[in-house]
Amino acid sequence: MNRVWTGIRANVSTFLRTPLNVVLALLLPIVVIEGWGQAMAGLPSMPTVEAIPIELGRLLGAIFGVAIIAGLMGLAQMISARAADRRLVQTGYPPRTLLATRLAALGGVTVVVAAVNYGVLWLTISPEAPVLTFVFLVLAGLVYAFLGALVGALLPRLFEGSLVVVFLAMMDAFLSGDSPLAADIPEFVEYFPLYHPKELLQEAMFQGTYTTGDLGFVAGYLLVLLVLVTVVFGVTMRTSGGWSA
Amino acid sequence: MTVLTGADLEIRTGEIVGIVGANGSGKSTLMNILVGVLEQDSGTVERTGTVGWCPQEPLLYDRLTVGETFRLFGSGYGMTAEEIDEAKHRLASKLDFEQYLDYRIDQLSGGNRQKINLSIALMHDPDVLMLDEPYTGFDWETYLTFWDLAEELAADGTAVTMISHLIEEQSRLDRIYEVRDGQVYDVTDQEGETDATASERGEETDE
Amino acid sequence: MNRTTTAFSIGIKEQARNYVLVALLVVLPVSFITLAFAVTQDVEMPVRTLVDGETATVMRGMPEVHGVIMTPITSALIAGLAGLFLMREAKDTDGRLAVAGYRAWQVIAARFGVLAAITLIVTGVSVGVMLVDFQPEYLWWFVAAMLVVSVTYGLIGMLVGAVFNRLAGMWLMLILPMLDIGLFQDPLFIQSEPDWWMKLFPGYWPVRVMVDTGLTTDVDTALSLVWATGYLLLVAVLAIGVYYRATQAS
Repeated sequence: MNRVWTGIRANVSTFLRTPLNVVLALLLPIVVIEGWGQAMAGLPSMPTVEAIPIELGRLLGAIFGVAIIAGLMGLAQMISARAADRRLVQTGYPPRTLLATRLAALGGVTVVVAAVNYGVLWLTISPEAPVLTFVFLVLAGLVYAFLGALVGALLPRLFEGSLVVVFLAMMDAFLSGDSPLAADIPEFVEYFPLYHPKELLQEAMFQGTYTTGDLGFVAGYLLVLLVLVTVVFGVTMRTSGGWSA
Repeated sequence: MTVLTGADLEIRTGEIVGIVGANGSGKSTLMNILVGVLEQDSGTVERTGTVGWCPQEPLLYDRLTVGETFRLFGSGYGMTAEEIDEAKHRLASKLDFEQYLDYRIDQLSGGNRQKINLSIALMHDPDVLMLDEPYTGFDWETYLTFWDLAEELAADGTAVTMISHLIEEQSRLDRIYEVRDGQVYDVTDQEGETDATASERGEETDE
Repeated sequence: MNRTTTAFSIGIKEQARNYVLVALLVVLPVSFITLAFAVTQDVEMPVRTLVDGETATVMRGMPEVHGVIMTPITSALIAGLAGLFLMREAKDTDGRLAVAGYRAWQVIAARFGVLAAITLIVTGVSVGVMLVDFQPEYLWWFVAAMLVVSVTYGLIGMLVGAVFNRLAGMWLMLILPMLDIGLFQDPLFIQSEPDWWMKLFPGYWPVRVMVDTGLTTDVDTALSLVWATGYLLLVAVLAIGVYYRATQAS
């Protein structure tokens, strides 16, 4: 267990040692949450288009903010550590321990990202169920953190990987987010990564309750991603890929 | 941060000069300034003739083939297509990477990448050659070939400067400078090993 | 071949060999822009623009307005990130080209050429896929403004890449186009004239041109394109200077 802890500490301190990362990770949620909230609430009056309450706009912004930051963190985490990880495996870390430290650190970062977003949100809205809202925000972040890690393991280049994560998050947030601008949302949107986290959040925030079905779906989603990440990570640690970041 | 406070050295035609020093003493910084990729805060660097530079980390473009890498840098040196081709085949046969000419840099092993890194510095028969631990990752054969090449070039009038760590090669060097406490000292005539080199022989990376 | 063309053609080869990137340059704009058209409600909405030199509000279909915004946002995002990563990749290795005898302007011309090529592809694909669902009233004015805004963002990406590390650069190049084009300049969200500070963003002048020439039947914004180009030149000068500093020491 000591090794896991050492690994986590090393990962977290690497991130915190770059102050600019920290500043921007704080700035992005503020921009996204307020931007999204104001934009959605300020829609002009049109038939069939109704501006949504600013609170909901902000919540949608927070989901997007958490998803995109956590997703890019997962991506960067997976890529930056590849070469070093292979070396650690050689020094005797079992790949599984290593992956556990990576994911645990990622989980930690996601909690922080969710906390920052929650903090920004909390300044302007008081959720019906604060703890649940926070937990669901973390879940939304975890889904994207794992997705980002998966992209990073499959496509270990920061530029290409970031394009995939960014566009995925934008489309997902737009389709899953009940945008008042959208119509004819296809049925399969239900399987999008943010769809059920958004349902959970909206309910916790405005009614203070949650639906077990949504929660089960998110848990299943996380489990599947976890298995995929583990498999891909295991394969990349065994083979020497020609890719480099 | 100031790494070097005073450095006064001269490298003359036809000699092989070694630069030694402890980890982080500023050897690579000194070389980067001599080459011109780093600007000195004060003082002057005078270069006459063409320069060949082999950086410590192979600074090459990952997705280019070996042949394209020669073409890119050869064009910079002002060589014609024939000259580039000739240099490529000459070095490839000498350093034994002929079978990799169509491989991409990112498909090469570390040792082969280093061969290309070195070849790019040598391909135009420079007047001044600056080598930052040029043999990292070489096998013994290649290591010996490297020294043959360096001695050949020096005999033809090239001024060769290299950052070196291996004690056994100090006999091959005409002069040795040591970087210590931000200053550069001529330690050519000192018997045996300097403190710095004695404590860190073997593999290492710098800065 | 002279040095500039050698460095440029090899630089293009280097990027073209990156099949994943080439695929993404096509797949991302196609899916994103198509999606924006597919799910946007087809209702009329008020749009602020210039008509006969006066600010006026006209009614246009929301998908059209969406197309006018989503197309530049897509290419600005991709071009910006491309500029960022080109800069980060080139910073160290291009210094070696300088040692090998390349003049600064030769390397700069080659690198900017590669960025221009990527930007052209992204712009072309974005406009191409947009044309399936929406035809601007004045296509070539629209395309010109698209090119200006995309190149401007590519160069801003390069600037950011010279100053910030990759992760921080990525945050910035995400926030900037989304805020600028997606919020401040989007007629859907900002219905009155933007505040003065919103006009300082790179998207202001080009998007004005795109709204005008995309959605109305008169070209009232020729001057805006001049301003947009001026903005582009300013960023270009800065980017060249910064690139020069980053790769050439003495």
